[in-house]
Amino acid sequence: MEPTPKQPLYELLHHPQVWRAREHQAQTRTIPTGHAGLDRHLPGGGWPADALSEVLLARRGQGELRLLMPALTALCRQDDGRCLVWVAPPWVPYAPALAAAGLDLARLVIVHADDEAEILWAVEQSLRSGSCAAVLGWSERATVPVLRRLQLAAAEGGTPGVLFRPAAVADQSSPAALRLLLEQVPDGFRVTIAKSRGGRPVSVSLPLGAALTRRTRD
Amino acid sequence: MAAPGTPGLFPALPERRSERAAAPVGQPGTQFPHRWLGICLPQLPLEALGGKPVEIPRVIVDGEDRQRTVRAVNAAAWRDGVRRGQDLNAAQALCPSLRAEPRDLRRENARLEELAAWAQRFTPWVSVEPPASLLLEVRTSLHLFGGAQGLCREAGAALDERGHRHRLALAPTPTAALWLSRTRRTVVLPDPEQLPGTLGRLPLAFLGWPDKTVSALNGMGVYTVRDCLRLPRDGFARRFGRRYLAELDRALGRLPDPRPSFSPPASFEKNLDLPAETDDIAQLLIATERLLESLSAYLVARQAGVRRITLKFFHGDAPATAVQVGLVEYCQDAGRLLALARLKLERVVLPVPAIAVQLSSGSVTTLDSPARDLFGPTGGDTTTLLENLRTRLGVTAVYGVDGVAEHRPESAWRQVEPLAETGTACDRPAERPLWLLGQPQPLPVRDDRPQYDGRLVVERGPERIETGWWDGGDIVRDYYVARDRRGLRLWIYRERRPPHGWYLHGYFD
Repeated sequence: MEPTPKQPLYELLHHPQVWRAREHQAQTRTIPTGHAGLDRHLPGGGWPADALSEVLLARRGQGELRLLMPALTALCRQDDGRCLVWVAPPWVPYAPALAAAGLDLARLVIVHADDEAEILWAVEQSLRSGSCAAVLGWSERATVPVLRRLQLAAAEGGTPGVLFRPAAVADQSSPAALRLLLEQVPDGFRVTIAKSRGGRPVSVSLPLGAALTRRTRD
Repeated sequence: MAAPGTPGLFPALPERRSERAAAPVGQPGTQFPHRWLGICLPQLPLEALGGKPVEIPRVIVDGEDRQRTVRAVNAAAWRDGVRRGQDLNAAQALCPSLRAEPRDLRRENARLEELAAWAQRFTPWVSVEPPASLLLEVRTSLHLFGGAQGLCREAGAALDERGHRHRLALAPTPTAALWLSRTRRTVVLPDPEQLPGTLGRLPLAFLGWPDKTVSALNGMGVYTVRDCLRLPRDGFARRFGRRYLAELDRALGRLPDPRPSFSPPASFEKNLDLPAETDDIAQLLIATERLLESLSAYLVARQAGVRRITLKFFHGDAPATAVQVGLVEYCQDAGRLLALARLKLERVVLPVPAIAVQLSSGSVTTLDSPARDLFGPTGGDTTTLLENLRTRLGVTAVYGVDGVAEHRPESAWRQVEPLAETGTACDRPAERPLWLLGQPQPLPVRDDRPQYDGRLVVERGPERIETGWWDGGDIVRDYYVARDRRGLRLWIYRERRPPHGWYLHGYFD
């Protein structure tokens, strides 16, 4: 039974700082990750489309592109011509392999930035402009106020943003809408949903990459 | 109407009226095919020297040491009784705190030309009339501004905004527009019939003739144009010169009165002195904004755009600091340029405070089509984003990538302009890693096997790549797909040449 306006519980439930999970679930716009096992556990069934997501990595180059690639290629198939911005990728995004994986290279914009402040500035600009299909950034030392800025920029620009951060920050709080922990396991990757709006923490094993080659032992 | 019917030897106007009536209506080349807007800037000598505090009494003076006369008076000095044409000594007696500055004709002309470039938004035909006037041929553009009154209102408001005191007059002949614009109120005189009557009441002092001529005429009891028109033509010409007779004829439309059309210089360059030495970014941005607004006016008049601007900050003795701002596409919008300049200036450290700023445009290109689509193909403005990123991070920091048909892995991709059409010449049968290391990383070897954080297990290979002998960058390598003990897939190779080193060249995921 819903409390009536005079009751203390009503006041509590309608207090602006009280957030109730069910109020938000329905509004989330998402982009399917392309990994059915993961989509099942994500609120809305995919990457939040106008918010910041975090992917925590033990080491860079450990599957983050494999994780993102199905969603990125799906975005490339939309004919709005919007670009994908990658800020400060750790190595050269290798054009032949990206094209073979189905990415439209004409939409890819690489931004090289030297220091942390510039990386985050570039991510924020790209998110806020609203002209990008998605923004990916590799950051070492983003702070909570900066993450909040990025989250606001993503919401303002209606752009999905994914920030790759070291796994060491897993115990810090984050204003991002979604936080995934990506780990290498011997036969693929394990994705742990550490935080999601309206979802609950869960671990999912994904046979990313592993399916492509057969493992041989000597 | 005084001129007709008087015994003066100027032809009387009624005859001309009958002539015109005989001509078909609307025939090209009728008597008055033009409408000229005269703009007089009485305070130009002051305004050209830049904004200074208005509460200090200031005058601009003209002439040599002994005989310096006041040319322009600011409001504070005016309140003390200082007037144009006074001797400087007399002015200083009226107002002891008066600050007198010599006239700078070079700057006045520069400002006048800048205004001429700006005025080309009203009409393509603008004529510069030194010392302080502009003439605009506006007959064909009148209807765009809702008639003569609308045009005067709009031009007046725009001049106010730019900080120029002005007087306007619209008349069928350029000379009449020029003369009438020197009077105190806005005159709109569209009808040629009214020309002799209105001009007739004009005192000779407004004609810009030398003082000597005017006082000689005044001595003869000739005070207005109407008085002048009563004089015998040949006598007038003999005494005062044909020039003034011809001027009267031109003003009344009896002689053709061609005016040169102003064409702006091929590139833009402008200096601005700062009110005081400063390295404060806010002050520098204010100066930059003013310069950019001039540039924008210049570009709009030419329907042109720039892709690069240079800002130079002068520091007295030290060499000037130059700052370049580049754009992805041609632009003529002052706001856009300012936003980019701001990004750039925030990161510039001036060695010493600056005393002046110069803006130069470099090459200027005519824009064929409007600079921007009304509804771009993208949701937001990608171009703006790329420009912002490039301005702060550098042009080379923002790029796209494309595949290249080339066997050497490090040459099989290249940087391209962002959002350029890509050829995607990379249909390779073999699997390639998503990440390539810019510089192959040597791997330690134990028991003839490469190590990467432990032992590596080869999954596939070798794939022999042996090429590039023609340009000296030849490679002879055996590539393998390997997996480390945590399951990470690596792209590694072994040099076929001694000393047969192992290298890590990419990550697959």
